[in-house]
Amino acid sequence: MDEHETLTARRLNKAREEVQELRGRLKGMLSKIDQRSKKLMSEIEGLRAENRRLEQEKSSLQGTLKRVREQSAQRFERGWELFQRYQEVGAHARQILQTGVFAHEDDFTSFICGGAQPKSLATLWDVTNECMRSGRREDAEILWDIFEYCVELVNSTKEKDIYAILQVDEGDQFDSDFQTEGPRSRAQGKVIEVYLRGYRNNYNGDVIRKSVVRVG
Amino acid sequence: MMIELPKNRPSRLSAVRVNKIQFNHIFTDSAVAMGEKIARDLAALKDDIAPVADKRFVLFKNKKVWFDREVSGLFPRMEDRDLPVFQCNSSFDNRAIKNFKCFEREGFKFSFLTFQEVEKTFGKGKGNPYLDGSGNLTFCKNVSHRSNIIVGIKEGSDCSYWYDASNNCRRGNECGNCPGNCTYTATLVPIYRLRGKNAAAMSYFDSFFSWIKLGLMPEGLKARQEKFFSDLINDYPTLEEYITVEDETITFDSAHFSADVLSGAFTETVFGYDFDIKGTLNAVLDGSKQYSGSVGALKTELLNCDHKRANIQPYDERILTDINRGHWDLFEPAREGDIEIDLPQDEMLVARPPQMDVRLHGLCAIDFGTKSTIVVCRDGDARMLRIGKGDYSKAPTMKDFENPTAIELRDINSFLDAYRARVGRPFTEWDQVTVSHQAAEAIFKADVGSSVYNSVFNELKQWAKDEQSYPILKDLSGVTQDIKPYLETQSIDGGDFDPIELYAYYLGLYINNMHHKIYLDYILSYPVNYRKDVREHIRASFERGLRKSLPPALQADEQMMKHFRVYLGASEPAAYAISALECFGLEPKRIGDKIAYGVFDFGGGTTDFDFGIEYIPENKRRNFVIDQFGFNGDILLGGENILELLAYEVYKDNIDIMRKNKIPFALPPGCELFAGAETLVSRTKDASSHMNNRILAEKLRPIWEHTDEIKSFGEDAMPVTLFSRAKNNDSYTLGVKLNVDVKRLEKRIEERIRVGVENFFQSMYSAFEGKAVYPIHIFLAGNSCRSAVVKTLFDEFIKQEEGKLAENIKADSGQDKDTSGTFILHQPLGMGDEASALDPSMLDRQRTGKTGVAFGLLRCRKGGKDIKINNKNVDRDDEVKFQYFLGDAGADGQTFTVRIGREVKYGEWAYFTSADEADFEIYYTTTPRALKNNLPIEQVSMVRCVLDDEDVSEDDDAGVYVRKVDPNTIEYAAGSEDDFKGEFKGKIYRQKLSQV
Repeated sequence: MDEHETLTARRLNKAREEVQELRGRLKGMLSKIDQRSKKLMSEIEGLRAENRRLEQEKSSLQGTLKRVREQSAQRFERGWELFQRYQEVGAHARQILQTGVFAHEDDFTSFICGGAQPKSLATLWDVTNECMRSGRREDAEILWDIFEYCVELVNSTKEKDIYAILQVDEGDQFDSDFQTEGPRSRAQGKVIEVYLRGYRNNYNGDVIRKSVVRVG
Repeated sequence: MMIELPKNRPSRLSAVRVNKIQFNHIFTDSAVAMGEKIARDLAALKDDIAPVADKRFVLFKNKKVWFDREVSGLFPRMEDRDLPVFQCNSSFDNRAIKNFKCFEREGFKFSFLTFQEVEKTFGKGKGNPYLDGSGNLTFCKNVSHRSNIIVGIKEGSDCSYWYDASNNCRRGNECGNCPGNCTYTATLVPIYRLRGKNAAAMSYFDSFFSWIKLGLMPEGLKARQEKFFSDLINDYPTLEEYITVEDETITFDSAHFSADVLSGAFTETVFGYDFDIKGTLNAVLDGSKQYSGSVGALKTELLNCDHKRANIQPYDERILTDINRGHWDLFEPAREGDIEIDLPQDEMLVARPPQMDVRLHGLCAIDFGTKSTIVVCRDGDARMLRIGKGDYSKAPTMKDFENPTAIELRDINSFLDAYRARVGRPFTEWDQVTVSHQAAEAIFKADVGSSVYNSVFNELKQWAKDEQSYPILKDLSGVTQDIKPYLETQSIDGGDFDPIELYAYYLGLYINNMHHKIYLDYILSYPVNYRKDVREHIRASFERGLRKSLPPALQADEQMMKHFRVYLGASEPAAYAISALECFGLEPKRIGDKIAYGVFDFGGGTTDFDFGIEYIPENKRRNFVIDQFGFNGDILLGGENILELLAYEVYKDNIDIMRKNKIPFALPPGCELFAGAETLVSRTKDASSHMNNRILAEKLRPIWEHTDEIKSFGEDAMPVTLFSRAKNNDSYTLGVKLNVDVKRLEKRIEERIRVGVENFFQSMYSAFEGKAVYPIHIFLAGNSCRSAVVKTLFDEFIKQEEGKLAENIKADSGQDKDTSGTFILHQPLGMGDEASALDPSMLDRQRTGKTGVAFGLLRCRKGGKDIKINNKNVDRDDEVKFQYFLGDAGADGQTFTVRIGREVKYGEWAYFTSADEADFEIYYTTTPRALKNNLPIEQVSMVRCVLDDEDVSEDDDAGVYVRKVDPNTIEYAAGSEDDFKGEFKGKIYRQKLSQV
């Protein structure tokens, strides 16, 4: 082999080595790129999942918002309806309620705000009871609807419902812990008519007003 | 001790004898129950038979007709193939059709259908039971055209026309639909209309009642349904007025029905039950008829006997059948006039001698309180009882054991009649009189002016003490019940009305029943300041009432009744001290130890102070002895009185509103009228004034009890509905907003209690004078002592008094001495460190400032050899010591000055004033602060006394002398000192003193 060939061979070897080295480096780079690519893909997948979750959350929140808006609309629609019916209530009941519950009886905001006060409930119930006892049945019916609505309003301001209307049905055994005798009642027996349901505080279990029933 | 049981009565019974009242109950209850059963059955029937009857086409079992709801009509059943058939174009038949009037069957007159009706009923494919799939009638004579139904003769012509069910079309001569010369035949199916021609469809309800009225029983009912339906058909005419249908509900007015049955307005026999109560009852009572009613009614009566009597949970059925149990009432010996009820052969009821249920070692302690009464029974464990709350399945609350001292009269005449008719366990009813919780609540359940207000009596204890109290009660039916002063009142059986005996009777029913067994030994606490004769009268009332709650068979057992006793054990504060000394671990450990105490019993209506020393007797005949002395109190200091005081303050602060709206108010005891208030504020408690007082007091309760609600007072004026004397919008109630100054009211509370605490310390010094036993333990008792103000004030006074003591020692001996710990304050039981965490299952054993009295009482029992009380608050005759300080207006005419103190004994004449003019004034008070001689004269009571002219003398030796006769009476006379040394010969004047 002449010198030229030898030189050429050396150059070839060197070039081969360089190529191999380059190939190794490229492989390393490729591996890194591959790893990074996988990592990025994984991140992308994570971001996509997060995006999906956020989309779902968004959707859920939109649903909740819609529901709340609907409920709110319904609630205030019902409030408006009751507010209008309240104007039909007799002057006597309205006079009493003006002092403790609905300060401005011709103002809807006052009606809603007054009704949402926990301390309003007892007065409202008492006036309803008085109307019922004195034979003002129509007034009593309107006030009862308002009372139920106010219980909902008060409850909606709390994490858990604080007040609950007492359950009592005709045919139940009279229970003096939860019921009190209304007009024309016997002292013991079964409930034969429910005049007015009472209510209780769910937090401490206190019966704030007992149901008024006819016992027979 | 062995119980000797009666041997003259069997325990297993095949026949039961019941007395007339009981039988009357059974019979009438049975009739009422039957009425209620009819109501239930009727309400259930329409749903029960709906699967069979709620259809369009219904066949009937008892009459040959069928029904189509869509046309509201009945049709003759066709199985007999007897409906007339006509040829359609025959002039002969046309005449026959024209002359057809009606078709009669089962009493119904049927007539032609209209086209509209026939199309509805016989239209193909509508499920008509008499039409086959091709539209042919299934049961008709063998004719050529089985689908044709005659409808009638066309108006204005002689031509018939008919309906072809197979083709669903109308046909007839000259109508164009009928082929000429036709030889068609048609069946005449007539209708009986329930609602007229071409009527709208009937509802199921309308159909149902139409069938009942017409006596039609649908096919396909079960035997049980058929029986009821058949009875209903028969009895409907007599029951029709009680039956209504509304909103698809059938209602039987059982209340109206029962009322008619019981009043004798309804005497028919329906559903096989004879509702002629009076007739049947009389027949059974005079023996001409045997009772044939259900034994179930008898059992129900027996199981519910105490439920009906006192609202106590009914007994379970095994009490009648379990040989180891048995029912007391079945053991009662037969009395003349009793009715015998034979039991079926397979039925055997078990009688139980009440003697077997006597807890011979048991003891019952009763603390008869002004506001509430505590009952503790001991047979092993000592436990409190709930009175008036007879549902033992319910978890109790602490309030349940504080039984309000109240009765409510609902039907007093019936109650008294029943009460007097039987020696024990009379057949009185809870619906005639209620007590305790239910009675106490009754006052708030109706309007003022209604009968409810006067039907409730909750001042039993105050009435007992007041010699001039004549309360008038009115029951719910409007019957007036006058009440005499207590000491003039005799037994209920003797014809009087004694509310305390009545209350004790109900306590007895709750103590002695088949749930709890029987107690014969009773110990009562008593108010320490009540006169001896009043205390004895209370004991006698309790004895009568408690005895009345015992079964007659037991009362007839002389041996057993030797164990029955009711006695006075200890005064209320002493009994509380016993509990407190035990629970706080203060009882003396060895002979020579002396434990001094004072009780500040701050209740709802009054505050009592009492003092004593506990020690171990040297003779060891008892575990401990208590020397009790120095009783005193503040008759106007009570939690409820403070609330009334606050209410009055708020009333005064808002007088302009009250005046403008004519809102009256009852002046609370111990308060003074203010200028210009006379027309609105009254001393008498008329209903409106009293209710306003109560309503305002309740509103202000958060301030007194210092609950969270107190915050709301600062936010706005307080809205409240009060009673006015003028009508407003057709009502006597009125809503007003009142200004409430919480700080000022709190200060008022503090001022009022401060007076009480000051009185207590004054009494304590007086009581312990010369006794030198330290430290003195101060026990706070009564529910009102839970107020934080009480503790604060006591702490303040203790510090102050201990300081004064140290100063006095220094002044006397020149030595500095640490006097702290001389007075040791103890919070009410149940509030301090000794109170264990409240275990719900231990609630009936929980000692509190209120319940501690009854528990302490148990330790004073006779034979217990436990604690003996030497009551030095009474004299040798056991009479309570005279409580008043007697005096005059002092040198300045403004300050009460004691002239005759408590040291002067009954019967001793003591100089009071000169006898130089006929008139003189005696001021008097029980307030211990009187001893300081600085009490403003307007804070004490006064009586004006007058001497006869011949007793008036300018002689310097002549004076007015006074002597104490009984706790509320004095006598005075004029003379010289020598005249009173022996037996006084002159005129003696008598004067009553009253506490308020």
